[in-house]
Amino acid sequence: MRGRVLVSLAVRSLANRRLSASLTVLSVAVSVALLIGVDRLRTEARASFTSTISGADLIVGARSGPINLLLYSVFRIGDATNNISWASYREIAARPEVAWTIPISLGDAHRGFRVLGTDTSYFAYYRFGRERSLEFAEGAAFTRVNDTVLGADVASALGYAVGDRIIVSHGIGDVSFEQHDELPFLVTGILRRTGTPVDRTVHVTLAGIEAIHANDDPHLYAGKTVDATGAIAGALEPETITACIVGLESRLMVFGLQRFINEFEREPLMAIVPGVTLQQLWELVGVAETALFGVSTFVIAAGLIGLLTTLLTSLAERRREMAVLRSMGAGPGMVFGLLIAEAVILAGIAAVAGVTAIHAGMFAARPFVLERFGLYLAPGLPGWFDGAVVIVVTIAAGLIATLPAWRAYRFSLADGLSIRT
Amino acid sequence: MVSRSGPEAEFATELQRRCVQDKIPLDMEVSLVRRVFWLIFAACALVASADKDTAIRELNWEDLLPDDEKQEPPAPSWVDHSSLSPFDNFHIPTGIVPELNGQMVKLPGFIVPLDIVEGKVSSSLLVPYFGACIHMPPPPPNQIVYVTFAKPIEIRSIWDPVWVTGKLGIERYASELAEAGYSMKGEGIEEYRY
Repeated sequence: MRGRVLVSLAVRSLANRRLSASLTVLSVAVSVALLIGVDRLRTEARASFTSTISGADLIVGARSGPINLLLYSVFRIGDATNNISWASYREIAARPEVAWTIPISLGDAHRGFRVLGTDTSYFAYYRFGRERSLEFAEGAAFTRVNDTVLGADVASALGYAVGDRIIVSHGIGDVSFEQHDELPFLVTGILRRTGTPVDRTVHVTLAGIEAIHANDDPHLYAGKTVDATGAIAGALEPETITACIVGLESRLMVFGLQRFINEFEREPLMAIVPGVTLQQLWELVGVAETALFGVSTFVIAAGLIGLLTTLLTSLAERRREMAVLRSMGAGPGMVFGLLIAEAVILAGIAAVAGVTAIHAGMFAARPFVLERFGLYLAPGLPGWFDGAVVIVVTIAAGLIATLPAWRAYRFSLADGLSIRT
Repeated sequence: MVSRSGPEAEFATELQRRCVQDKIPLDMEVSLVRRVFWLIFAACALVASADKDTAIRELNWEDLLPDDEKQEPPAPSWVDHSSLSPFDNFHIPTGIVPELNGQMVKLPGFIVPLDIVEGKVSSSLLVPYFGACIHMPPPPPNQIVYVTFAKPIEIRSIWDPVWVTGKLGIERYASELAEAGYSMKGEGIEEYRY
């Protein structure tokens, strides 16, 4: 009974001061939304980052650094220091412990999107996330020298469809002036969205890459069918590729083959275990996410201090209100409880509003975030973390409200109905 | 009286005889018999459950070697980086201990992540020393365990050794190069304290 009176009094009193009350709610809600948002983004970023490649046992490239090799071969960030020879690639691919290989040839671009030369094993063996393989949204894999398969982002950003003809240029800049416009590529397929750098890649055959750079008339090769290795034996067999992804018959062979490749006789090669390098890279990046989380906790503290300030400053103008309550028979304890109830109600509403707003906002911003930053935000309902934040913020508000509540209690003991000003 | 068989019946008969002798009301003694049996049953259950807990066998890496290989542990020789002789000694035939198949074990080592799902390791290799060390040859197949985790685990750093608990299995190779190695259905990891 007494509690209900307390709550209804608190609500009425807040309604009377609705402007300052709603601004306080807003500031706490924004800080809660920030904390939740940062947490969601960092978990999603981590999930998306580590889901870029899976099921691969080794990545082989020219000898440089493991992180560099992972970045250019999987994330299309940065460039290779050197290529690996086609002969070495064939030798590794032919080893008995190797189950499959995906050759990768980088270095060209199409209107700001990286061009990747490969063969059809790319569509068969590339895995991401929970062992998901690439799927075609439209069309099929390439079969001829100048066929191309586009990632989902490339197709949507440039408005391409199956059957269109595109020009691939040399160099990786946004706009390249040296255009190999002699040989147009025919779009034969568009991949389903993966949330990985595959979406921003233009895939062509290895022979296609060679044809772009061929000295003689590239039209000689237009429409020619390539073999299983993505090349035309004898005519457009590549001399080099940039890297290759290797899958093994047994994963117990990983170290053995890695050592074999690292000690490769003919040329300096390097093999990395993608999981190990991903983990190392994330340990590096993880420091920043912890810092970000720390900052957003401070913002919550700032929001709660704002709430405290509002309550404290309101006390002076509410001395008459308190005196009236006292004269109506409310005990000093009631006045104390009233202030606590106000703070808890404000913080509770703010926390729930913040959680709701950030989840709705992130849901609404999904297409934009995916297109602009390539980050896939999985639609998710508020979880235990969000619940914990609401509870902690509400309890914290109740605790810090003991300061204004104690002051109101003291005033209500000392003040009469007449206010001395 | 309800008819019984087995040791309980014999015990009851004996009791009945004694009760008659000592003039104790029989019902009281029978309920006592029941209690004694319940106590024994409870004790057995307790022992059995305790036994189940200790059924996880703590192994060290030498336990994974068959007896003939234990005599001469594969001496880790320094790798000669200066020579151009290609490294090709990972086809050295190694044996396994088939009795370990299906056992719940706990093994210390380093986690080498292979597949990472949503930031957590879903499959990995467990090795006795860190596999990326370039001065030593990689561990032979019988000193590597391929661990899959049904519930992916979070690891803090690949340099931290851990205890991995799980059911050990034998992994047969598809290729003819080596016969078999170990796999494990990992159930959990815990920090290794030196």
